[in-house]
Amino acid sequence: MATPISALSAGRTRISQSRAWQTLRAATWLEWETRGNWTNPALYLLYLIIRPMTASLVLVLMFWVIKGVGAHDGIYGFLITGSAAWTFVEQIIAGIPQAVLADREEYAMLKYVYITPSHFLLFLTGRALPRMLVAFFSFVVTLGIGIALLGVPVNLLQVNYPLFFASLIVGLVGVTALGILLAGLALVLKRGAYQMPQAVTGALYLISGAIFPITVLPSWLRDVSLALPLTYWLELMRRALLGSHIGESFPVAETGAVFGLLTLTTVVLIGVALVAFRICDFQARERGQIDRTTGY
Amino acid sequence: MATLSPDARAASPQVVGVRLGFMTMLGRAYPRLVAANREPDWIFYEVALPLLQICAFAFVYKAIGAPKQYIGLVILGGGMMAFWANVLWSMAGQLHWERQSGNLELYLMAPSSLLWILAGMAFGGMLATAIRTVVILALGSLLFGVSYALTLSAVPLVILAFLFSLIGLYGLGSMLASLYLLYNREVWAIQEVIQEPVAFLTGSYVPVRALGPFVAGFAALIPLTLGLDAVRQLVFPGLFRIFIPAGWEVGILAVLAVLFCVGAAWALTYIERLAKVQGRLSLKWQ
Repeated sequence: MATPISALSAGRTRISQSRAWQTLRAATWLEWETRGNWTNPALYLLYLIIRPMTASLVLVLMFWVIKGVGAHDGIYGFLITGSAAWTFVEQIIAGIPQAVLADREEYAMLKYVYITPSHFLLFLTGRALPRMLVAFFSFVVTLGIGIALLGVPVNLLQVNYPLFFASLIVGLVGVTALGILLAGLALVLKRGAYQMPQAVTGALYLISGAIFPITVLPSWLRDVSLALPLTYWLELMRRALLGSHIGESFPVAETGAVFGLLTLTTVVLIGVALVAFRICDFQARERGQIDRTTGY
Repeated sequence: MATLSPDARAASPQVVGVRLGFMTMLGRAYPRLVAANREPDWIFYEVALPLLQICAFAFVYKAIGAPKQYIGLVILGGGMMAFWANVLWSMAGQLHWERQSGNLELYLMAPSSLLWILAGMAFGGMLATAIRTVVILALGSLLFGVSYALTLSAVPLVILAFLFSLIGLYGLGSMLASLYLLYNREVWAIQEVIQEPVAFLTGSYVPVRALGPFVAGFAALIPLTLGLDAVRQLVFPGLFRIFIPAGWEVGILAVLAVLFCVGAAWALTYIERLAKVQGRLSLKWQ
């Protein structure tokens, strides 16, 4: 008896969904294991918070050297919240290309990932998920210590949680898109593939006003800053945590408009990232760079 | 490939050993001094990257309304951090990296001591990073219009502070390099973990005294801390309250330099033997 076309189609969709879930789950678990199984969980947690904590402490000291020890007015909260939120960017934007490079160069497994029936972009997204979790943990601990011990002016009862989580989700989508774009570039770069994500993160740290208001940037650099979703994302995170007054010096006053611009720039970034990744992926396959090793 | 001449071979074993050692040192320094500069992308990765970080911290001081000399303080700190990055990734992590890529066995089979190889890495890394640091300092100072008040009489002390802190720092790197022979995958995590705290502890972006006496006293064990503080005292006189007078700091740095170099030689000999006994010298991806 012939199987109806609709039943075949539904079956294919189910298989595809199941495969997508398997890919996501396996990639997430793989990333979690490769990142954390070199030590015990307590040491790993310590490892996760030391870097963002000391980065924030440097800023605290810089502020106190000029304004006096214990001062927490002006842009004090701005510095610490931006520094804590930057963990997401460091973990994801630099992390996805690193995962691709490690799979290709150190473990020589990338070619096997390519020959599985799973979708590579989904695999990369799965690799980003544990990093999001880890970054969220670092963010909460860094900010928590900032609030409890360093006087960061965040009142947990007055935080705009809907804005915080909405901007966090959209921001993470944008950051992941950027990580995927860089992973594509890492596949085709002949030299400097390891340093490239750090270079991009460093440039974004400066341009997006992570630790200072973008108004102190030269005007041409401020225009570049306003084209980036990260600028709006960090601004919204700060507004949600510290109150809208923190955005008084930001070129866009209305919080709704800032959220709209975050969404718009994120959508554009996703489009650019997908196209760029496809091009890089094709180039890498064509040039035989999927199983190339550069450092071994 | 360079070999010893017949005259050199006829000399005493000690002389042959020292000559071979120097040749090894120069041979290992060569890729850092010459080969690494063949590709111009170092300008981007090793000059532009630290400059971006320096610019970010300079803008923070600008946003807080700090005097311009504080931006100079950041530029000096950022420039010196290039040495720390070099020590960490190209010195401390190097033997681990060589093991992963299969070169460590070749080093150990060579007739020269591993210490000469480390000395060559340090020498090459120091000179190559010095070139990058000069470019970073010049560009950073030009970008932010920072001027320095260095007097001629202070120049010898600045040079001594700089040299002793570098010798101590590379000695520390050599100690770490030998220690890492006992570790595997956790090496990169350790490297990542200690990179940022050292920027904090050494007062790279703030005067060392701001850390408080206990933290600054502990941080003084890292040669970069006192070296940076001494140089800052001499090029920005009177800008901030000093931690220890520059002359004293140079003296402590000289002691630290000797201690770290002797410590590195001892650690390398001991850990190399231990690693051989435990069979860790060719262990990969564990």
